[in-house]
Amino acid sequence: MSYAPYAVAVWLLLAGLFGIVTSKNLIHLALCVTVAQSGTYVLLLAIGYREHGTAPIFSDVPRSRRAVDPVVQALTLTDIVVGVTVAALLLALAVKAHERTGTLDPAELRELRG
Amino acid sequence: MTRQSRVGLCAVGLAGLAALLAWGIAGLEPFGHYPGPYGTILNAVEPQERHAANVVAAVVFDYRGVDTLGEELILFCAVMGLAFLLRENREENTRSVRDRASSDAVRAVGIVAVPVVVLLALDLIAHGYITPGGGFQGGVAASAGLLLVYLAGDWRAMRRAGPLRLVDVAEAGGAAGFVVVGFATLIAGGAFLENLLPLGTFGKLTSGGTIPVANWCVGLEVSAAFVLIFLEFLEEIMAERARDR
Amino acid sequence: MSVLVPVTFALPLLAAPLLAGAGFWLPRRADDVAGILAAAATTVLAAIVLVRSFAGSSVYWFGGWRPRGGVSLGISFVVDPLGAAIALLTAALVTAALVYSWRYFDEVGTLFHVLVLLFLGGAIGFSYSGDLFNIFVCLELTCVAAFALTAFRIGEEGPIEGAFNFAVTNTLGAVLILFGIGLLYGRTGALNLAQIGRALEGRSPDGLVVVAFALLVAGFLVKAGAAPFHFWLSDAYAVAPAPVCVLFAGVMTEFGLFGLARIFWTVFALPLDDAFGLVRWTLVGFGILTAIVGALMSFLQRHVKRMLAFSSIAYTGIFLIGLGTLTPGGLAAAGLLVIAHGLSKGALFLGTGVMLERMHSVDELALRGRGRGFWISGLTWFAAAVALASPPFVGGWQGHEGLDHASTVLGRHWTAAFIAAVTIVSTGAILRAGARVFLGWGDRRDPLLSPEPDEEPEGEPERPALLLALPAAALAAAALAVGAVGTLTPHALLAAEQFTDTRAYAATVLEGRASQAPRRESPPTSAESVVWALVATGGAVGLAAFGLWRRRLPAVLRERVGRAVVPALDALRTVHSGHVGDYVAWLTFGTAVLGGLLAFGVLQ
Repeated sequence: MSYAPYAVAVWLLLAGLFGIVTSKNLIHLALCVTVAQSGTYVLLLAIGYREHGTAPIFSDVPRSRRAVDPVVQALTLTDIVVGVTVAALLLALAVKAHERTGTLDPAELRELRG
Repeated sequence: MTRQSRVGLCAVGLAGLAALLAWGIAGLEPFGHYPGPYGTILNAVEPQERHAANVVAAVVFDYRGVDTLGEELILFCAVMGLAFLLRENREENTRSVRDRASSDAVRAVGIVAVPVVVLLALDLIAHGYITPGGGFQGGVAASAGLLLVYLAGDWRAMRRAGPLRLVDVAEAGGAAGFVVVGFATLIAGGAFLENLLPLGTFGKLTSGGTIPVANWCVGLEVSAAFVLIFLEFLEEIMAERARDR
Repeated sequence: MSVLVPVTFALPLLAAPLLAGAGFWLPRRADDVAGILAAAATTVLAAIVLVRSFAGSSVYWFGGWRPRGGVSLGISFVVDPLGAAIALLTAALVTAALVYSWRYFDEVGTLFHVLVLLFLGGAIGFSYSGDLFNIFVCLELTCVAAFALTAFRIGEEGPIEGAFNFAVTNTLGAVLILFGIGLLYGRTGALNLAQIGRALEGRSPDGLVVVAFALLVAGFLVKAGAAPFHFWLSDAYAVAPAPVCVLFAGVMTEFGLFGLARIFWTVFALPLDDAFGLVRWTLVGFGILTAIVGALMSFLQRHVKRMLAFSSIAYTGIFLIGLGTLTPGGLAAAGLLVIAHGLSKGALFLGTGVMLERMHSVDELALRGRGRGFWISGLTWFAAAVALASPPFVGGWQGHEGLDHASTVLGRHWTAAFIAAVTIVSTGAILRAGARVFLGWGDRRDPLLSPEPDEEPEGEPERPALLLALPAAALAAAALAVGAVGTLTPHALLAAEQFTDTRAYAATVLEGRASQAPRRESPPTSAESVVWALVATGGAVGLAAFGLWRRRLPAVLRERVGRAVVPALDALRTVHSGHVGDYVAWLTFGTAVLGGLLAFGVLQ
């Protein structure tokens, strides 16, 4: 249990990378990039967790109560926004590629060779 | 490269990477034993220094406000790029497309759900620094409310509810607003993005100083950005439908 | 705390959304003017910040959050001369690009200006920042703006593919950086560079520190376009519009190297003190690989922008060799080369813009002789190429000399010869292209050069000829002059000394103790460097001639050499397939190799 969340983070990264390399569809590829990025979210959040800690929101909880790390949550929030924006751009490019060439297979888009 | 050699190369790389990462994470503290000090100190001092009950919101909008500024602008930049990518060469006029939801029951649910979702989203934004929530979360929820107009209603209604020009300006306004807050505090004699407004009472809507201001700027920008993303992608589909007719 | 620092950062970031929002109502030329004014104002501010930084690094704490008991609560900007110089270079190139683009991108309204201003803001934040996560965010802002700018001519297939490959590979580099940041945060609980450095100091590095370092290096090398992470670069440069390429070649890939240097010298220099030897060899090794791949591929191109892209990759290799010496001298030399390279490549890319707009092609063979009337552009082209070749006291001369010296100090006498060879091949390609296009020399066909799809010329209104030619000429003249300005080397050495002093950096940031590096005398001009510079320049001209008139050599000789060399060159070319899956496979493999080498070095 003590290192399992970190292992999940590593697994997500590796699975995402493998997905990108073997992908035959640009949309699938964009989503694999998202999967690889989620590995980083899991890593950050797992690092900040404190056993028996509650959320760092003290509106109805006494301030002396043990809480998890708020900084990694802020970092993950930023990270997610960056990830979403890149995914949106990649998907838009995929839509344009399909419109232009009629295919979504990266192997078919071979203009830039050599 | 052939597919086989590509997969082979990748497999070797992944094996090496897996070994490296395993070695690396072995050096971390076990799960649940966060060592601090950054988070621990902030949890301890923030409530009395900034009066915001949600420490994460304080980190996002105050302590690490510059990161949020950068992130907001990344969203702005990407959505502008996306809008340009998809608007280019779009010849079809989609005003003739309606694409109504077929069932009356769905439309009825929509009429009730849309205001509820939008209100909920605004509540999420407004109370973002007191309870879980905030500009980002509420902004996405607000954009979902507008998407619901299309899903439970029709395309023309969504276009009318969120005219493209207004959404563009709202997005730019939200992004610029955050930077203006920074400049305003600079001109007022403090540091860039220093929290100079009165801090109010802990747990009330008036707490946090500049945090609510930044919170609303982000809420505006994120909701406009996501509405724009939905509108642009849906326009692509509608343009195809108009072409097929 | 100087107010100029946040204003220089935030000014382009304020101008961009305002321009976007108001763009609809502004009259046509007003947005061009507004963009240029914002960029020019930022350039002036960045210059003032640079001059002041020589008096000592200054620290600016955002939000007024000063550190407490050695723990930093907020985000700091730490302005030292090297960072300030990169910020100024970016601002100057952005202004030049905006001036060149006057009326170029009319159909898209304010979009180009907005994206370029956001690029600038992100770049300045990145150069000034003293916080690990903030560096990441600012770098991502710059890169996302770059993705959008690459896809500008979205009507064609090439830009879609180029932008896609660029975005995927670069994002994976960012993922690697984030993993490294996560590991460091998990160990030290801090995001401030100085604080992390202090926390890691004194303990010998274990697996976590090494792996975090390896991931950060790999991620930054992806951003820098070093081999085997470089494939995206040639694709992106080949399809992006010319003024965008000026920015890419001048500064964007340099950010990757700057980031690497910054995190090394603030965080890892002290913990990895015992392992300097193998860290050096790893970095220099990747630099050598990058330089070889870049130089060879650049000679095999007929698509002029792709040729320039590979030449930039070759130079990234040279910068990495300089950086990899892990000495202030090597760092200073790399910095000087970056300036000279940025200015020359800027001029060359603007030259390709002229080729597209006036001669309607970027294929070297198709353009043969078409450039004959454009004598300003031709002169600019050759001037920029000479600045790259760096004969004594011209162009990149000071950087090359500094690099030779830094390597000799470390006992590596082969470096000067290697770099001369790389210069010969990549600059030879540029001279060859220039001679073919502007002078009409050389054979009409050349099967050795890669067939490339031609770029469709933009249907722009006829822009005044001077507008096209003068910005390039200005950049080329500046590039040439840089070699002769005597005060550059001592200033660069001062900046590098300040940059590499880890303990002084930490003291300035966490305790507010001001510091300034002692002034160092630059080493006297060595005769050896002069010789190598002449060899490089002469060799480049010779290789260009070889490229132009290869057919006139005896057939037997050509066949013998061909049989030995061509298969290897073809293999190299096949590897550059344009398929993003291949690129990511190489990225994964390269990261594993890099990590393995560093692990081996530290565990020794």
